[in-house]
Parts: sequence; C-alpha cells; structure tokens
Amino acid sequence: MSNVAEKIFLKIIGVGSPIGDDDIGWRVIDTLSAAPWLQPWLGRGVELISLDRPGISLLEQMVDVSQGVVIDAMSSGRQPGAVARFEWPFSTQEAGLLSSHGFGVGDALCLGQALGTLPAKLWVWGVEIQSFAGGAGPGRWTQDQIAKILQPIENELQLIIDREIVKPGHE
Amino acid sequence: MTETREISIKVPVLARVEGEGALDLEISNGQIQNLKLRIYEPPRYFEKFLEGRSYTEIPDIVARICGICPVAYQMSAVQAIESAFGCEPGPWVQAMRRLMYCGEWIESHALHIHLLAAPDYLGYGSITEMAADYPAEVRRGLRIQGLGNEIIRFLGGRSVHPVGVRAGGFHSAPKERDAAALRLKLEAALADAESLVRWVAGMSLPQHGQVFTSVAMHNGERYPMSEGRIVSDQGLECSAAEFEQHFREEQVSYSTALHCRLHGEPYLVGPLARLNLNHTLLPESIQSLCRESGLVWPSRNMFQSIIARAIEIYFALVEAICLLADYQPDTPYQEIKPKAAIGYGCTEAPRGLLWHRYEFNDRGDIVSARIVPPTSQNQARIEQDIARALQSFGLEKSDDQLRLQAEMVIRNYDPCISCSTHFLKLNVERC
Repeated sequence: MSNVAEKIFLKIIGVGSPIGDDDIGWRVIDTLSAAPWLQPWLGRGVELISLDRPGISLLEQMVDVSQGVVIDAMSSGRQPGAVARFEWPFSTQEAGLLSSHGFGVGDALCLGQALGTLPAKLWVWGVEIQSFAGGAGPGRWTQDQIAKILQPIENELQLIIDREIVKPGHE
Repeated sequence: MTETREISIKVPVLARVEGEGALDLEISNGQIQNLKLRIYEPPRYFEKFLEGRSYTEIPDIVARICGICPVAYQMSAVQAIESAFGCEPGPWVQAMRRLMYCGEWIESHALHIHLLAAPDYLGYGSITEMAADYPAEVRRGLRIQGLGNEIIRFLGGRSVHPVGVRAGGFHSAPKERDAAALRLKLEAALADAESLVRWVAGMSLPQHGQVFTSVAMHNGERYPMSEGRIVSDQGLECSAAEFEQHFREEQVSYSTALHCRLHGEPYLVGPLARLNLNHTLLPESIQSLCRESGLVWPSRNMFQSIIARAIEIYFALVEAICLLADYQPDTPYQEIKPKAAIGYGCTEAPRGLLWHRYEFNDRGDIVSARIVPPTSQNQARIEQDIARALQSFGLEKSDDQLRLQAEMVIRNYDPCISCSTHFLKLNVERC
C-alpha cells in the first residue's frame, strides 16, 4: 500500500464514560485496536479513538473524515447487550443514544448535519446497556459479551475497508 | 383564586443529565412573594474526598469537579499548595499557567455563547436550530472553542481533565516547535475573535439595568486570571487568606448548592464583574473595539454578560499569542517541601472567583479542604436577578413566558448547572 494522504478514510469513535456499563464504546475500541486484521490499516487511512463524553467536541473529531463510525451506549428498551446499527440520518431519539451532559452524541450529530460538517457516510452502533448506576467503572462486560457485540461491527468495518481502501488501488 | 400550573420542558434523548433545577414562584397582588431556585444536584463531597490525600493528588482530583473548567480548579489548588509550602514556581511556570487559563476561558466562553446564550437572544430553542440560519457564526464558534481546547492540550496533555499540571509547575515543558505551531493557529484566529465581539455587540439584548455588586480579582497591572487581590465596586479589598472574613456560605433548605454572600448580601462574580472592575486593563485595541461598538463599561445590564464573554475570548487570544512569543522550554517545575501549614488560592475561573483553602500536616497530607466555586457565589444573585427581571418583564405574562424569561436569566450566568436549567419546572401560585 502506498502512502495514504492525510485524509482519514474511516474513523471509528468509541464514546463513553467510566460510569457503570457506559464504558462499552471504549471497550470495543480497545478490542479493535488489538485486532490482527485491523493492524495493517491503523494510521494508514483508519483511525481509532475513545472519547469521554465529548459533547460538541465530537464534531471536531470528524473534520476531514470521509466515513465515520460511532459506538455508544444506548437506552432504547432493548435487551441489555443488544446491538443496533443506525445509518445517518436517523432519529436520535428513537435510537436512545445516551448523554452524560446537556449535549450528547445525538445533539452533536444534529448540529453537524445543520452545519454540513459530518462525514459523507456515518454509522452509529448503539449497544443497549443496563445501568449507569453502581459507581465508577469499569463496567461489567465480559470478553464473551464484547466479542458478541463486536462481531457485527467488525463485519461491517471489514466491508468498508475492503470497499473504500483496498479496492480503489491504495495497495 | 389560587391556581398552580406546572410547566416542564421535555428534553429528548438525554439519560445522563447532571442535575435538575426547579423554580418556585409565588405571586400575590402582582408582586413576587416567594422565589426559590431549587437545585437537586447530589452533594459531591469533593472536600471530604480530599482529606487524608497527599498534596500531590490535589490537581488531578479537583480537575474532576468540572469538565468545562478543570484548569481553574487546578490553578486555584496549586496556588494554595504553593502558598502553604512557600514555593515560588518562577516566571516560566506562571506564564504557562496563564496561557493554559487563556485556553480555558476561550473554550468555556465559546461554549456558553454559542450553545446556551445566543439561541436565547436570537430566538431559537437550541444551537442546532440557530445553526440553520447562522451556520458561519456557529462554525466560527466551534473553531474558537476548538482552539481553546488545543491550548489546554498543549500544556495539559488533554483538554478534558488535563493531567499536565502539578504543584510547583508542570510535569513537562512543551516543545518549541509545538508552541510555534500553536501560535500560528492562534494568530490566524484573531479575525474570528474580533468578528465574534462585533456579532454579539450587535445583538438585540434585553435592556434591563439593575444595581448589583461586582466582585473580581484586581492587580492594577494586567487583566486578572491568577494574580491580585479580591476587590468589589463597593470598596472591598482583601487577600485570598482574608476571604472568610468577608464572604460566608450558607445552606438553604431547598438547594444542595450553597449560597455565598458578601457581608450578608448577594454579589456577582464572572466575566461581567471582571470587566466592570478591570476594563481599563484590556489592551488598547480591545478597548478601542468596545468604543467603536458603543460598549460602555462598567455595565449594569446583566444581559451584557455575553458581550463580556466575547471580549474575554478576544483578550485571551491576544494574551495567549503574547505568552507564546519567543517561547523556550524551561525547567517545568520547582520541587516542593511539604510542611504543616494552611494555604489559600484564588483565581478567576471562566464563571468567576474560585477560592480554595487547604490545611496540611507535616507530610503534606490534607487535614481539611474548602472550595468555594463561582456558581455558589452567584446563586443568591441569580435569585435576586430573576425576581427583578420578572418584575420588569411583567408578572401578568403567561406562565410559559415567565418560565422562558427565568431560564434566560439563569442561563445568562453560565452556572455549572446549565444542563439542569434547560428543563426548569416552574410552579406558579397566583393569589
């Protein structure tokens, strides 16, 4: 693969907090960062980052990004551990995205939409969580649970990388 | 006839809000008889958590008190530690602390102007609605806020709860090339900051003059961030160590946020109070811009706080550029020798005066801690302002109109409970 330009083809953002199960976005990013299949692409068009309740700063993280994937906790009435994929634009209220503050992921995406600053393609993966309670984290996620949550996300990421980075001749 | 109506604003999606506010208002014969701003923030016990901890842990612990103004908590803390142990960190450290504070003022004020205050004055429910009609202004606001975060990262390693600060200075000195790159970015943003001042100065703000006491730091030489004495426009002048002789916090039954009073009376801290007491210390270019925009200081219109914030952003940007001129890395910290002592720290957080007091044992462990944040100091003033603003607005207005007006007044102070004030419940009893 030749040198890829400064533009980030794919940025995968784990949003969370250290409270209760709300660290799931971070846990997914931690697992992805060690995934052997992803290693060749890290720093070469693909970027991973974990953010602690970024609020409006989420938009900063999407500058010069072609495709974005956000992984966040949700509270939508699904079974805890359920994973749902939302392709932007979607109803952030229905997605049940959680916010630790007055300006959460949903709000940031709506503002980015109004300003025209979002990546051309953007997906949000919501993971249903059980609780914010129980004091400080880390959450109670087991490796098996994370692997199960990660599987559909990884499948799609592999497809995106294949479609956007490998095939256009960056090799 | 008595009628009680409750109004609540439905906030979509938010499951992790930081608190809840309510306003109880009793009106009788066209007069406000009772007004209570009730804050439900759970007590956070930071002062208790600090007891028994080493002085070395204070900067990282107190940074967690606020996600928007962690630098302020760190700056007041290190000042208190150094005053207790007799450490003088030297000019390089003081300059870099001031630079870091510039970053926090920029990001915090930019957030408040664009996210909370401007939508109120321009007639929108949120920044997202406002962005549809003011995309360039919102983008500019986000750029400015991002620069503030970048300054904090430059010295703190990260912009949220930065970790670069320690008693005696910083853990490390940034590289010269990073400083040069940052300075270039800041210089490129000067036009943004100037146009921001013009934009807010041109807003149609409510014209509501009132009498209040402004309290801020003052040193007579430069616009205050971490240096000077505590003064008021009513003749107060004291040091951080004398704070408790003049200011007293009291608990009220309906709020977990303490009310702090000066000689028993409400007072104002924050950007408008700072500007009222220090406007002559602004650079001539900014004073000239104020004159050109028809702005006169001191101001008695609380709603001009948004303009004060914009001016402080411009000032902080100019100041940061100066502080980065000819930057050279230097010894990042002075060693500290702990001893049994009491130390006081007082600096200007974005929202106003932030006072710390620590008592240490001979190992440098904390025996007791006391922190008086600006929001606590503004609580009584906010209630006073709501009463005056609603009387002026007209108590015959509908509950909904009164609620919106009250929310606008509360948001204008940029309290740390900003989130909760977005879903204010207003209980009105009319007799």
